[in-house]
Amino acid sequence: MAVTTPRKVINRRVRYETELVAQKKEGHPFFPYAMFHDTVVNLIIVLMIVAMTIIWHATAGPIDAHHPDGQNGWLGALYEGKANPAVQVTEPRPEWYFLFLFELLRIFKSPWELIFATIIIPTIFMVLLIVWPFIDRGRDRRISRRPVGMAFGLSVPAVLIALTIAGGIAPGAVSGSSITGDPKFDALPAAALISSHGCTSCHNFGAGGGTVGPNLSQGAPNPDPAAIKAQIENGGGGMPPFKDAFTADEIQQLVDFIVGLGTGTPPSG
Amino acid sequence: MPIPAPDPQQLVLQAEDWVEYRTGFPTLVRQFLFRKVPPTGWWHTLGSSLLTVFIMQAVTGSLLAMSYDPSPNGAYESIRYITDQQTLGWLIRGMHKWGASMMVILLFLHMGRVFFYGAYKYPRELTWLTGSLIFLSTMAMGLTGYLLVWDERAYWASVVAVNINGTAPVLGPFISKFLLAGPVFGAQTISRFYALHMLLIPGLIGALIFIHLWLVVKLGVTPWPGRPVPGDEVTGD
Ligand code: HEM
Repeated sequence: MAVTTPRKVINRRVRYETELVAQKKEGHPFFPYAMFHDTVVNLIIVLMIVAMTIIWHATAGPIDAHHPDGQNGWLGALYEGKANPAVQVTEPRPEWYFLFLFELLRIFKSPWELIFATIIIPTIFMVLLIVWPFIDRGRDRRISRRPVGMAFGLSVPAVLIALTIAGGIAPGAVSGSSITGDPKFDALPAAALISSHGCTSCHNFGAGGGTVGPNLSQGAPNPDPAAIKAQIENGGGGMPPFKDAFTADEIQQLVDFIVGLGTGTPPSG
Repeated sequence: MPIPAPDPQQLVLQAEDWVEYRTGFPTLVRQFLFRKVPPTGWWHTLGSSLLTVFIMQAVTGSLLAMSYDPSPNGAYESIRYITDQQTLGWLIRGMHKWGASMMVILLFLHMGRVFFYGAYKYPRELTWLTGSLIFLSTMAMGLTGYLLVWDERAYWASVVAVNINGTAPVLGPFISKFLLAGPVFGAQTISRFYALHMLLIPGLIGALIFIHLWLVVKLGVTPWPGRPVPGDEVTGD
């Protein structure tokens, strides 16, 4: 069957094709006209990358006897200490282009709000980005005729830049190698488990930590050991399940640890 | 009878004809190079810069892969070897590292220019669509590449990223499980991130770039919308 083209589509096609024909007649050849601009900018970009590399390498130093943790240069360290899954000594901090997500996690704190930061907002943005040309179908490309588009086009980058800056200057989630600030608790095997599984990126156990999940420095909001156990195993409210990540013994150690934080006496054994 | 000396110009033409007859490439290249573009300016160079940086990332990344060891015990040491000992290793690693940041900046600028020109409008919707998929894949490159250094910062940032991802309903835990490839971050995780970072996602991006550029050439570059264009007089929606 032959296609029947709607009037609307014919109008669009005629407009586009007229424009294209005029372009073919009056336009400049891509080479050398546009290629000249391209070459200049490409050279500048590559030189900028090389310059950043040289500054990064020249101002930061390797890890050696005098600098066991490496030396930060103007553009950061060449590398930090080797990852040790057993102890979390640095705050988790993503690349700069993920800082806006990081900041969203700070703004939305409680578990149900967290759904906004991790799912709803990013998903809306991704979908909006992909389908934007199918939403904004107005034929006019002139800036003065696209008030809604311009509102989006200016506010989205402004919000992203603001979130990135806020995320960049925010204090880190964890400040030291201590988990609770109490050596008696820190010495327990559960402290190492907490550290190695990044629990402090969301919870504070007394020595600082994320604010994404409830503060556990005085024990859990619901001190019932069975509830704590269920929460660790199954997650919920934004927290992932850790059932597969720990052995049953380890989960029991964690439960005792958190109960102990509530009563103020470290569990024995 | 003496054989006449070959005319060099004829030789070149004959060689081109030989290739043309068998491949058609010379015509393609000519059509690409001498196609007409509207008055463009510096803002139009961002797309080609992205292509250049992508190629640079592919080259430096391949060089890094020759010395990199994707295992929990070897990754960090191989990164230190590349940075401190290998001849110009620091330059290659640095260019890859800062090239990644540059790529993200260029992506935002290129998207901005396309947006303000209204260049995603009819009939270029699919150019934008492939572009936005490239954008999301590039962010995924940033995420998977960050872990490979296997220093403290990289490790813990990735642990948090994967945990956050796991909180998403339905697909979240599934994706996290897939990325971790085990109960905790370890040997499986690093191999998986490595395969994604140096094989799967770049392959996808390469294919998407090809389609993207195909569409750009086929549809022509959008002129600046400031002035009236021929075709404007055809009104109606
Ligand atoms: C590695 C990534 C990319 C590469 C290599 C690339 C390359 C290019 C090139 C060479 C052009 C033509 C020249 C120019 O306008 O700069 C172009 C145009 C275009 N790009 Fe991209 N691009 C990339 C990413 C994106 C993204 C993320 C988007 C949007 C979400 C996008 C949307 C467009 C559109 C709509 C055009 C048509 C512009 C016009 O007709 O004037 N591109 N791209």
